[in-house]
Amino acid sequence: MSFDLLAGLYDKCIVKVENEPPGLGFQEHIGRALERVEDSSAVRAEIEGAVATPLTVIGSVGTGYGRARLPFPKEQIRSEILCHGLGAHALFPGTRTVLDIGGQDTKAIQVDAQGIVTGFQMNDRCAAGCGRYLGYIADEMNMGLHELAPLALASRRPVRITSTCTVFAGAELRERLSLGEKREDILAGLHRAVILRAMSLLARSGGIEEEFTFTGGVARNAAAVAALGTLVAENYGRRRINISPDSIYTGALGAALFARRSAA
Amino acid sequence: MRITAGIDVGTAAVKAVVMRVEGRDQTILSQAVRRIRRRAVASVVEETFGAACSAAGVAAIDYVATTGEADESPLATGHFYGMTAHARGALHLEPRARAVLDIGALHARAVAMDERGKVTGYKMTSQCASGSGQFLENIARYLGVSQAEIGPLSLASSRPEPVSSICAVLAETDVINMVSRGVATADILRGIHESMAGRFARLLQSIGAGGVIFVSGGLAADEGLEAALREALGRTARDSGIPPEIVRHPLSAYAGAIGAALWGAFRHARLGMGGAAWTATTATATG
Repeated sequence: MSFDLLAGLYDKCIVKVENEPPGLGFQEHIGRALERVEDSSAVRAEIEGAVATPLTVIGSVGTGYGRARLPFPKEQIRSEILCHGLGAHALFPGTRTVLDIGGQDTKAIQVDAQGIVTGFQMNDRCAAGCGRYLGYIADEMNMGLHELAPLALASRRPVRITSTCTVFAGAELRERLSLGEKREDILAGLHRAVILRAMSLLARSGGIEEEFTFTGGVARNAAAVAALGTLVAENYGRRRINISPDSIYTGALGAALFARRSAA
Repeated sequence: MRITAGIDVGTAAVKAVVMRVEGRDQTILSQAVRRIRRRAVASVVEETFGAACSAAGVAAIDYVATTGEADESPLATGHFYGMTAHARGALHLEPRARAVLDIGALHARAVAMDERGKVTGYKMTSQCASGSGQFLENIARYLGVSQAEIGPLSLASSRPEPVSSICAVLAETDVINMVSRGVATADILRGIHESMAGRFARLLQSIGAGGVIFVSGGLAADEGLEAALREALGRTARDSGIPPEIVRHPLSAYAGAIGAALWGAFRHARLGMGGAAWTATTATATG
């Protein structure tokens, strides 16, 4: 089996944007910003001095599904639960509950005022309720992952999906399509099904008492966010759901903060 | 003499047989199977039934029996439960059988029965497609192995890779991890077979199945799975003494359809029914 084939298989699990490096470096961003500032010579000198300071890595921490493969000593590895909790706290300091729906797992995390995990629930080795479920559905429908949400949002009468298992849901999807049900209504039902699984994890982890943050790749899916909004409102009352445009980096941010703590 | 047809509508394929039944003389005249893929089930049922009928070369059929997920097929004279149809079909193919393990695309079921085909125990996997035919098909696809190669490859394994019970969808990454660790394809397949066999052995045990166990469904043709199942059952039966015997048949996949056709003949005789359920429009039905 060739590396390209493996990479191709693996790629299907990942939203394209996650593989793109940032367009510009820090220096270019700063440079562009300074161009817009009038009479900037004094400011410019200070900033350029700071920017020119050589940076050294004072610490690094690895996390995530593949953390065991990182060439780091054991004390520089943190679980993704801890990192997501701390990362979400850094993005939204009032956060007390974090829901992270990634490609292969879903976590409901409760954190304290410092972003330290006080409890969590996680789905175990099952694609139902995580991003891969939507990926499988996209494959079944011969659609791109990014095409699902716009279509699902067009639904007026979402169907109730009865299957839990991803494969069974795929069979149910085919059956409903052959019965002539609308694609958007089935898709809206499938998005709701993913979020329903997450709701049970949230409830078991202690529910949503205060500020709530949604992270992970699925937080970029507008139909999933809409379904979450509806179900959270039904179960816990109307409340704001914090979503950062950089939500997919939450775990990495948490790991960086742990690295800073241990370096200090 | 009665000519009956049995149609077994599965989740992935439709199987049909035409049989001639005259008392204890029960003969399979023809069989046909069609994959459903993404087509409407009703049209696949029609196509499979048509293929079986023309292969049988009969002018008329007295009773068309359906089983499986064929709710209210317009072709059907009557419908029979999957478990009773499989029990009856298994007994036809192997009279010594006292249990059936039916391994289909999405579910596996274990049926225990007596010598007359009366069901004495039944259990089905539910909730999840782990260990199903679709699961194995997905894994073979990730490995780039064709359906026909799965069994022989698995039998050739020398160091089976232990696999814990895994999700049929997330198995994709598990398989990729195994491949990248350098585990041989044969060892991955055998590990998967062993994990499935363990699950099926527990399923059979839970209904108290013993003696001769007949394997039906699409996965009955997989000799690697059969070997793993024999081993798993041998392990679980070590305390009780005699290990159960595993039997399969070239027509294993048709067990449900055969059972339905036989139950159809039985009901047709019992109710003293007359008239044909189906006639070949091209044939001149004078006999």
